[in-house]
Amino acid sequence: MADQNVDVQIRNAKREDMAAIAEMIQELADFEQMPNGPKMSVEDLRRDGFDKEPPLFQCKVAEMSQPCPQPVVGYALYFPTYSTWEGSSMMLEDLYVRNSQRRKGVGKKLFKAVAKEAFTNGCSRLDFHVLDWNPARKFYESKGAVNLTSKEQWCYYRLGGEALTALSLDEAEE
Amino acid sequence: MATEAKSDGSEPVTVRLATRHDMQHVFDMIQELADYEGVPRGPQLSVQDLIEDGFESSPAWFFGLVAESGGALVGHALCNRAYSSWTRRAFYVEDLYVRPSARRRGVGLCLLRELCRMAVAENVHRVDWHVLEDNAPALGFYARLGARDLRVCEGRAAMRLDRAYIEQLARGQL
Repeated sequence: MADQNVDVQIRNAKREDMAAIAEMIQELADFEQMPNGPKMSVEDLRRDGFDKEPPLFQCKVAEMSQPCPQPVVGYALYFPTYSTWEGSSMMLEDLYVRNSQRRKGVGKKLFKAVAKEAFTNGCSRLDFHVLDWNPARKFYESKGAVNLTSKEQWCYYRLGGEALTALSLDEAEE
Repeated sequence: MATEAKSDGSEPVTVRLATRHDMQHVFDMIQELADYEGVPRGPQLSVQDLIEDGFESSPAWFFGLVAESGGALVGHALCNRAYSSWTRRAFYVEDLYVRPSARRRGVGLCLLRELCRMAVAENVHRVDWHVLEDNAPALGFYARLGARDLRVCEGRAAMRLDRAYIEQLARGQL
């Protein structure tokens, strides 16, 4: 994956990073061709990640060691989940590296940092979702990740927006 | 807590938050679901693990809803709080199970409806879960609720890194 390694540090995100994170969340949505997906403000991220106890998510950033105009070049956003079979687990919601810094091992460093966090917390699984056409799938598979959709035929479902509200209000019997 | 009277004259179904005292029943139902899914040796947790992770750990690793009818526990949903970098707070449903004797009476719907009520009250914008492709009755039920299959509509594949690979990656062996 890495053509040349850059001097990048992985560290826990701080509230001051949330502007850069919001920017990269949008870049990732653009990459996924769903530019209208993100509905978050920088303030939402600051509140949910840093003012809430416990925080609603955890985040690591990749930062260039040398001073530069855009030092934060990637991020990973994740949170704890739970398996009824194996107990504590972790969900990696986003992993992103800015276009200008790809193919330099930054994503690998971020992924590894999240795996370390999962390991330290005794997590039995690190779960995430990837778009079918995303070339990153090869990278994840090279690290031992299993595609549960193709291997075990898991469909991934979501109830959101109006359907969610409708069900919450619905008093009718089936 | 929500109680729904049944129009067909059968016992009403009550849904409430699970307590530590329900964990023996939840443990049994986790095994029943694994049996139904054809993976009877999947579950690795003890009742004590469930009590520790859900009720003695801060923050709790999961929360549960249980459905009661006629004085018996007839179903459960085991969930955790998740986070979307697009739409903030989210719920993830790890297990949704109704005992065979109580099926086709709207118990699953009662459980999901209560979860959606919690979602609306907590400003949660999406509820996600996975279901096996060959579970046709469940697929039909979820589609009727307005749930989207993200595998189909967005091409998202579920990926998993299991413990052995988490360890390898965390230790820098990959």
